[in-house]
Amino acid sequence: MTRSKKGGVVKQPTAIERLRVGCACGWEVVGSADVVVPAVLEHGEKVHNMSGTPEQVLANAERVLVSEAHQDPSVGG
Amino acid sequence: MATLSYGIDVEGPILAEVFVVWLNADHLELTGPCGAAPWMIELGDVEHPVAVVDRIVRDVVGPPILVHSTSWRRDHGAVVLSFLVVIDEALVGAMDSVPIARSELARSEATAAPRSIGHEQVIEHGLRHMAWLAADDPTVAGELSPGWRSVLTNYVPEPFRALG
Repeated sequence: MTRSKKGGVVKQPTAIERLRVGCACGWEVVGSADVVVPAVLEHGEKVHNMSGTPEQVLANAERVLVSEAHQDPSVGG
Repeated sequence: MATLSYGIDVEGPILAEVFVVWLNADHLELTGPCGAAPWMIELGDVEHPVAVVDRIVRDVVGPPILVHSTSWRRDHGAVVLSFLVVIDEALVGAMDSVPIARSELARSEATAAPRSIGHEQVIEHGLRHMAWLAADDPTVAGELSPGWRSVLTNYVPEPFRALG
């Protein structure tokens, strides 16, 4: 927390760690493990006929910092 | 290998490389759920490759008009079976799509595979193969619209072959 010029409290943006997994086909998901793991497994199985485990997803996901204002999970391709 | 970058690497000895094509008025376009690009699908050792491609295309895109393997090659550390999948215009929806340009074929040497093969060359051969089928195979000819058959007359008919 910091003080504004008028003496009020200004909330600093907080960075939150999220997971990011992308696919060679351009698809990508960013979010918490609860969001990313099932999304990756579903994408792999449905679109590429690939199987995997939650442990594989978690072990290989990229850790990224996102601002609190942009922490909603996103999926896109 | 179908790769989920910084995710999962799933190694498979056989992959399908699917080219989803459709007739846009008077020309052919490439589309697909992975953009206007080759769509990689892992093939297991139980289900028939054509059945796998048909099932996944139906599930992700919609019912195809034709599913046909047109060539094979060694790539991505696997044997890659190339498929041409013909879909109706109504299934394209929001998927990216680009006109298919003509390309020189990747020709093999007398006893060796081509040194490099681009996906445009695989599509070119696939469409030449489709042109051959349209003239030789009553089932394929019956499924393709007059517009499709007309466009295919611009392609030199060629049977299935190994590209690399």
